[in-house]
Amino acid sequence: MKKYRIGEFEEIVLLTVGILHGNAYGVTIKDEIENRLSREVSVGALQITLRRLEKKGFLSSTHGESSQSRGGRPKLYFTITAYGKKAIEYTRQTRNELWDSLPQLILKLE
Amino acid sequence: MKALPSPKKLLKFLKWFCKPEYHPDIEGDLLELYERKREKHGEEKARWALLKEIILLMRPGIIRSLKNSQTLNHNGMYQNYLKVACRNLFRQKRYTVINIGGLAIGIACFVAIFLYVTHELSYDRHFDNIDRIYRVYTHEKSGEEYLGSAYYATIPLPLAEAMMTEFPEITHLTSMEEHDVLLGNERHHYLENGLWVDTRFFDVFSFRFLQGNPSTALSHPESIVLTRSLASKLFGNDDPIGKNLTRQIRQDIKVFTVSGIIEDPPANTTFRFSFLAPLQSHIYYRNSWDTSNAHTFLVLSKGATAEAIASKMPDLLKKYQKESLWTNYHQEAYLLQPFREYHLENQVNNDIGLKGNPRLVSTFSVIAVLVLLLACINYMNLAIARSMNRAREVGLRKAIGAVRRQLIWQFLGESILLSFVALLVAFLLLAIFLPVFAGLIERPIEVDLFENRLLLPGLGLLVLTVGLLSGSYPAFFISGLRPVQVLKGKLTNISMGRRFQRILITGQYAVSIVMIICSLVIYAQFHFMQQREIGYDREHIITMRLHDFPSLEKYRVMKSTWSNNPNIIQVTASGHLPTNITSNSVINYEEGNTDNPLVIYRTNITDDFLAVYGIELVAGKDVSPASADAKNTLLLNEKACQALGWQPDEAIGKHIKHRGTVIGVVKDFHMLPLKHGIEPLMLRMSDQAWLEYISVKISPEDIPGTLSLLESTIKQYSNFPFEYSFLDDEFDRRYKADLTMGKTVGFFTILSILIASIGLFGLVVLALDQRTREIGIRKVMGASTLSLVSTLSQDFLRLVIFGFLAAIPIAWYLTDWWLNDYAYSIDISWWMFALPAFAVFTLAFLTISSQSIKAAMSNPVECLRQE
Repeated sequence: MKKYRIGEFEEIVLLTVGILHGNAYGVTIKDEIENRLSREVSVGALQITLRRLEKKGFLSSTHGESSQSRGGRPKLYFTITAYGKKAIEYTRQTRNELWDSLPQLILKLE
Repeated sequence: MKALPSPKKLLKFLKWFCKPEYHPDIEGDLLELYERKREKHGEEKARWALLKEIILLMRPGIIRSLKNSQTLNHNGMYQNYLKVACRNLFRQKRYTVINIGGLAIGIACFVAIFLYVTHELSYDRHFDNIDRIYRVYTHEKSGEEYLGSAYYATIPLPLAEAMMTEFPEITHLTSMEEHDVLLGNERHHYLENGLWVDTRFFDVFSFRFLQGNPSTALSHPESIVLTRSLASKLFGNDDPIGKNLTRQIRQDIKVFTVSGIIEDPPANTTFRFSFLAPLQSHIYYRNSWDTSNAHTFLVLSKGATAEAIASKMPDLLKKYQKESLWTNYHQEAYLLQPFREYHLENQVNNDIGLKGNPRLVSTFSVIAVLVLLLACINYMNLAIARSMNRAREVGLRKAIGAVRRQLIWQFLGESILLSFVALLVAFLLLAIFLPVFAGLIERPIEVDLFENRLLLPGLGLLVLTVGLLSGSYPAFFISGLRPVQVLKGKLTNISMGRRFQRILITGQYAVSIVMIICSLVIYAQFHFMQQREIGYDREHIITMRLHDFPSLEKYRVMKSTWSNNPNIIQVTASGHLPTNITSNSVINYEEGNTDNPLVIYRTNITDDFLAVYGIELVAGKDVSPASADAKNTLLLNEKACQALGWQPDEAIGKHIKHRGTVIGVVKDFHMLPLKHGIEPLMLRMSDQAWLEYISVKISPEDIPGTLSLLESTIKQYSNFPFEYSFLDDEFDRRYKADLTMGKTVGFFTILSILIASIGLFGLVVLALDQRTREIGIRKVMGASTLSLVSTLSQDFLRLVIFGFLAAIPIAWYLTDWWLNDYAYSIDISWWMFALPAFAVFTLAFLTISSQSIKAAMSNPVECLRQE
């Protein structure tokens, strides 16, 4: 329990980085989340979450090529670490366990 | 709408605040997004979006921290200075608190007193021509004194006029009187204090007119000028000009018309008034050479001197001398005093306005300087002591390349910084402490740091100096140490600093002891005056002031309505209260052909005066309304009999011209505050007038009921507000100045002891710190705890003893000067010196031993194992 403490947005970012597999840098992650979840994501919020996840060891980053459209600035690509994978798997598992123990009745009442 | 800045500029801003390691790729992302947006939605929208993103990027995780700016300067070194300074402060928390706290207390005291003193000195400075305004006063050359002074504030009114016509140097002149009256309209009645002035008042004193014309406002005898606050109190929002007011003095009621409104005088105006009325409509107005009742103020032309006017006065008097009772009897010299000195001058009798207390101002100034000095000395002492522990740091810094100049600046900067921290703390303390102080001295003092232009720069300079002085010893001495020696542990002897410290500590204790002795003497004197047998009762007596001076008949009616109330024991009426009989006049007892003029204090009384106050009769009988010749009966006190050369028994039946027949002699009682002696006194059975006070001896039961009965009766006969007090409170009020002085001096004494104690404490702790190894070795060699404590304490206690020896003569001189002012004073005795000495010695001993015992008890292994 204690090992992996991941917030909702952190979880989304982690998963998105996984989905983009190899092509995850600032702009693509932002686009992906905005498209899939139809929610507005600011660069600030995203960047700070990425850095935090990196600091926690769930993500690692490498500098990529620089291109003209980015004013010569390099892209910073993110990939999930093994530890990160464990973390999302753990979250998924705990969620499932919780879902399974939810009585059917309550769901039907909705 | 103004165009947004270009993306370049926006990104420059990002670069400024963003962490450098995050910056490139974030900028890349932003640019990519911007380009995309521009293609889709155009330049304008893209820029807005960029701006929004950049603003949202301003969050703690992304903004760069301050310390990571890597530039080519000495910031790192300065940062290290600051860090080391802070570490030192935190490592030795006790000192830091003691050091900063001591200085802060000293500064706070100083500022509080400074504000008070400048307030007192600022009185009346706001008048135009203040440097050329003078007041006229007189000196009775016969040496005959009234309340301990032969100076008087009033002159005959025609003399003032004569001065104006005869001396061209006098450009303006005005005469006035002060009196409180009941002012009212159909809605309200208030007891207000006013100045009764002639039409030239505004030529001398500048006041701002809100309505009306200064040159004509008081020309009509029934006109009145109000201050703004009184006008709004009486008339609310209505226009007061032309409205009528009734004014009542005693039984005399007149109608006045409001002719002008002036701005309220500033708080630092000596005159206290809420209205101005024409002098000639004053109830005691007398334009006669025979009475001296005009307070006269004048403006001299530029270049004219007060001395020149005073020297021409005798000739003027000769010229105008008529058959005048006043000038025949009195041999007066007429003098001029600059008006700027008026507020802080208390030698002249009968002055008007709220006078300051020069003794309080000068005493406080001395105290302020002393306390500040103590605090500064203390601060320096501790700072010096503390810096001795830092020789090693200096050695290390030098070894890695520090130049001496840098070290000097390091230490100086550190100590200046610390003293400025103390200044900030002082302001915090002041916020708490100033209301207390203002309550003590009863002056409206506020911390307005910017009102007084001298205060802030002055304090800044002071703190800078203290910082420089206390930092200079470590800066110049320790920075000169040889690094090799220091690092080897061969510390050179730093005895020079020690000797200086000792002198400072001795001085501190001397000052503290002087202050303790002084406050002890002031308290003893106060206690003495409180406890002294004064010759009349003070308990369970209610006194009521009757502004309308009821007639004797009215008083008898009131008295009879109270006669069957069991809680009212006895009732009397008199012109003064026995606490303060201040009227005097000259009587002439003729025996044969010899004239025996005698200045005698006098008041009017009615029957039961002696009974209510429990004043004893020595000879003869009490006055009584029943006796046939009640009208002209007198009582004298023993002192008066003595002055007239009579035994008490002889006095009975003697007739005094214009006054009446002596029928009794009372035992001497203190009818003036104890500052003054007992003077000859004459109590005259009243016929009609001059009954200002009714005094009632009550039983202690149901005092509120008694009071409400008294109030309802008085209200039936008087429009004036009901004003009462208990005689013991009234008595205490006469000594309030002394009490204030005692309290404040006591307060500052406690502060000074506190400062001296924490100074000593800090020093002891440091000295013991430096001697831990010595103590360890001594213990190993077999020294007992007791002998160690005495060895360690001796050093410091010697300083306290020296301080005491230095304090004795100073304290003696000061207390002697203080007590000289009282007619009845305590004798200075040995215990007043012994007690403070003992107390300070004990305190010092406790301070020292608390630390030295701890040091002596410690396990020698602990301290010897170090290093």
